[in-house]
This record gives sequence, C-alpha cells and structure tokens, in this order.
Amino acid sequence: MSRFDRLEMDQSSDGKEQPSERDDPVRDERYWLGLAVENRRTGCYESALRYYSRALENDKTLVAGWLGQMQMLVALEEYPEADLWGRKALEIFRNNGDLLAGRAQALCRAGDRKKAQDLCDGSLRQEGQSSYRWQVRGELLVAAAQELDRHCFDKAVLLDADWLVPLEIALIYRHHGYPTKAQLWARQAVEKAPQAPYCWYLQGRCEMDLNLIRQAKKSFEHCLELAPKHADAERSLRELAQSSGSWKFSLRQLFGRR
Amino acid sequence: MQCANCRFENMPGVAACGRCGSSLRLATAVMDVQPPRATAFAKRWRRWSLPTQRGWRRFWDTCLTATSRFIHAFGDTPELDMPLPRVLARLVVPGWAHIYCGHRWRGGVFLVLFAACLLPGLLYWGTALGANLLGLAFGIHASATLDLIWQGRYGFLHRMAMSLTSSAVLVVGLYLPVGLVLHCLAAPRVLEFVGQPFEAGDVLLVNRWAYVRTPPQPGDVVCFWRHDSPVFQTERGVNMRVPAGEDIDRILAGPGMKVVWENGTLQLDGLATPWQPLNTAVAPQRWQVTVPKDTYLIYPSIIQGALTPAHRQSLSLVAAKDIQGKAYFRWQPLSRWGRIR
Repeated sequence: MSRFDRLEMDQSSDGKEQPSERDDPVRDERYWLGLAVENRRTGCYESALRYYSRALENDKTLVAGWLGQMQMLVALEEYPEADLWGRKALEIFRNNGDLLAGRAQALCRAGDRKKAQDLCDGSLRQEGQSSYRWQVRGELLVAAAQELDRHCFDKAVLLDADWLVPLEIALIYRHHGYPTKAQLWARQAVEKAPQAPYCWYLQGRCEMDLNLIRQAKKSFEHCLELAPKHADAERSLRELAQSSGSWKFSLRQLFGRR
Repeated sequence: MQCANCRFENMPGVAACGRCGSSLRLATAVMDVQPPRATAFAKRWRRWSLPTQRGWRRFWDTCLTATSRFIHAFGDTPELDMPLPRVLARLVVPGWAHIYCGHRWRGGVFLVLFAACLLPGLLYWGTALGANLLGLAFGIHASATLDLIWQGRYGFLHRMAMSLTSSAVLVVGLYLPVGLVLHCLAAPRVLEFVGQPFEAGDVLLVNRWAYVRTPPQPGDVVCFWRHDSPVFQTERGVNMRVPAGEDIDRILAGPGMKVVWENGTLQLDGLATPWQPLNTAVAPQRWQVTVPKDTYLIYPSIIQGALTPAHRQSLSLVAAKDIQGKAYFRWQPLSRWGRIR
C-alpha cells in the first residue's frame, strides 16, 4: 500500500540501515544451492546432498539441484540409487544432457559400461556443452582402459576453469585405480586453489596411494593448517603414523602399484 | 512460459514444453525431492560384491561377442540384440521369461505344454514312452528359448545357427548336468526275471551314490556287474553260460559272514534273517558257505535250474567293487509304484 511506503522504522539519525536487518540471507533455492556447492567443495557430500534437496523443495525446476543430487549419490557410492534418481529426473527434464551424463556415470561405476556408453553418447548429442559431460566421457574411457581419456578431460577443463573440475577428474582416476594420474590432476587443483583444504587432502591421499609418505604428510599438514578441524586429514595422518612401521607398509613400498 | 530444461519459450497455459516435452507445471507439482538412499549394509555388500558383478558382466559381454561373431560367420546380419541377463536366466523354466516380459498368454502356453510333457515323461522314466515325452519337453523348451531370443528378422541360416547355439547351451548348461545327476541318483533299470517281490518288466531306480559312505547291507537290492562265466552244467545236465552285464539282485550276506541256507530259511552267523533270494524257485535245498573278505553273497536269480555246489559258489560271490548301486524305488508299473524295502 502506498501510504506505508515512506514509513521510517528503526533507522539511525543519519538514515543508514542497521546491519542486522541485512545480515539474514534470504533462504531461497539459490541460497541452498550455494551452500550445497560450498559443502561439495569441502568434500562434505552428505551435507551437499541435503542442501541440494532443500534447494529443490523451494524450486523443483532447478536442473542443477537434480543433477547435484545425482552427483552426490555417485560420490557417496550409491550407484543404483543415483541411476534411479537420474531416471526420475529424466522423466521430468527429458533428454537433458547433464542428467544423461549423470546416469551414465552411475551406470559406469555400477559396472554396466555398455549402457553407460549409450547414455554418454546421447548426452553429447544434446544441445549445448558442459564440462561434466566430458568428464563422464573421460571416465568411461578410463574404465575401458582406453588412451583418449586425457583429451576428454582437457576439454572439460577448457569448458570450465573452476578448480573443482581437475579435483573431480582426480577423484575419477583415483576411483578407477590410477593414483599417478590422480595425483597429477590433484596437483593442478591445488595450483588453482591453494586455499582450498580439500584439494590438499586429496593430493595427500593420492600421495599415500603412491607410498610417497613424506609428501603425503606435508599435504595433510597443510590441509590442517587451512582447516584445523578437518577430521579426514587428521585420520589420514594417524594412519600414516601407524602404518609406517608395519610389515604391510614395507611390502607396499616394495611391490606397491605406481 | 520458459521451459526450465531447454529454455524454449512456450505459450502460456501449455502443460508441456513444445521442444523437449518437459512438464511446465513442475513448480506447482507435488512430488518428493528426497532421493532414495542405500542402507549401510547395502553399501558394504556392494563394495564386496561389485568386483564379482563386474567380472560376471565382462564374462557375459564376452559370451555375447563370441555368439555374435559365430552367427555373423554365416553372413551379414543386424546387430545381435540379446535380452537382459535377468530375462535369460528365467529361460530355465519355459514360459517364465515370457511372463516376466509381459507375454503372459504365450508364456502360459509354453509352460503348460512343457509341464504336460515333462511330468508324464518323468513318470514313465525308464520306458520308451518316457523317453519320447522327455524329448518333446526338451523341444518345447528350445522353442520357448528361441522365441524369446529372436527379436529381429534373421535369414534361414542365421536362425539355424541360433537354434543350434541355443540348443547346445540348453543341453550343456541344463539338461546334461541334470541328466548326469539323475543318472547317478535315479538310473532306471528294467528287471528281466521274476523274483519276489518283483516281476519281469519292472522298472527300478538305482542310486549309484548309495554306497559312497556306507557299505552295502544284507537285504539290499543292488545293481552289480556280473563278469562272464565259463560254461557250466546244472544238476539236470543243462549247459549254461552267464554273459557279462549289469544285473539286479538281493545281497544275502556280507564279507566274513557264515551263511546257512536250509529249507527256505537263511541264517547269517547263526541268526535267522528274513532275507531270501529274489528267485526262491532256483535256490538249493541246503547250502553252507562263508563269504570271503571284500565279497558279497548274491544268489543268481537269472539262472533257471539248480546249480552244482562248485558253480553255485563261484556265481554267487560278487566282489564289492562290482556293486554299482542300490535299487531303492520301483518306478513302473504305476500300480506298484513305491519304495523297495
């Protein structure tokens, strides 16, 4: 109503607004989406999944929300659930390229590479390009032990310069048992975002896989400097300390995979 | 109204996007946005079983590729499109896979026909009729399999190749193992002589694994291998020779036992037993023998006429290694169907 437009309530003498009124963010879908991405960047996939769901409660048309849920389910190793959720999302958003790629990733990790390949081809045929589709394509090539995965991942990085992309590529290599390549991509992520503790943590895990104990220790310590309460980094440091004197560690040093 | 999926501008009031078909009423739709979650146990189980599943998938893909190459050897064909593994697994029972895929009537027909041939075939197991019915059952099974696998149009040669392949798979994968097990547990044997409680033409089932753990016992009706005997004369002066072959008869005594047969009564180690030779008409009036080690006393029921004492002993003693199994069930005729006691 126009007669209330000029009401001045709780204002200071110089007319500036009190900061407390503007501190509370508007908890809409963008807010929850932002929280989800923030948690994803710190490796808190469970929280990220919850926040994606909260974003969708506000706005069901958010494709990024549905996609994020699928990606978090894959990160949490719940592949059949990710596939099922992807199917539901695709009923709503037909032939969405990113959702097709998400289903392809879930099926690839579940072991059904043939179907995953078909879905990935379908996702690349859809309009538009996204880094995620090329990441999934690269993952399929890694799973099939073919040589062209590097090109797909390079393309993914070209399409999106965010540090999360090389980080997720490192996670893909690590999942499929290529710690050397994973370590290279983790290092790229660290170079792009030296202030992100999760990048250091992942680099440390890759170095642990390669039995580079000193480097791994340094990476975990750096992670803890940036995030003192990082429970995973603390646990990994304890693991390093315990295993360094054991016979299993010595065997891994001798015969461990590179 | 802009589509959230493809950003296409649609006319107001339209329910679905004109370009991609996505619903435009999503914002107001009531739906669950919480994804399904796996339990901790399911995740642990999958971590353990996923490598095995992947291995099976690779094995399955390899088999498909090999089958496709075999069929393509007969000429150019469209890409072989096999049903899903869970559908193929249901082909073990004809008609089940069809019902699973939604072809209820067809599946029902296959199932009923298969049961109509298999059950009577098993009932007449060991006879010619039973063999024919079981052969028909196999034919229906192969037809059901091919009916499901043939999803596209193939030429005559390709269909022949697929028929051979699927029949071979059925035989090697299902019927041969089942047949081998049945051959060991329930091998049918036809009696050729009359001997209480049996009659000529009775079909008995023999269990070849009956004596894997425990030795034969007196009173057991067993299937054993009889070796070629030399020509001998009966008490009436008839020349006879017992050819080698399988025989079914009752064990009267085990290794080391002292046997006394007198006036139709059998004594083992001084104790009377209810057992008698299957064919008491040819049993002697009086007989005494000690069964040697590793042999069993089986008085031959197939010999017509009384034997001289010397030949009686040599023909009655059967080595333990020649006993092949225990006859435990009379399968035919159906009027006297039941266990042998």
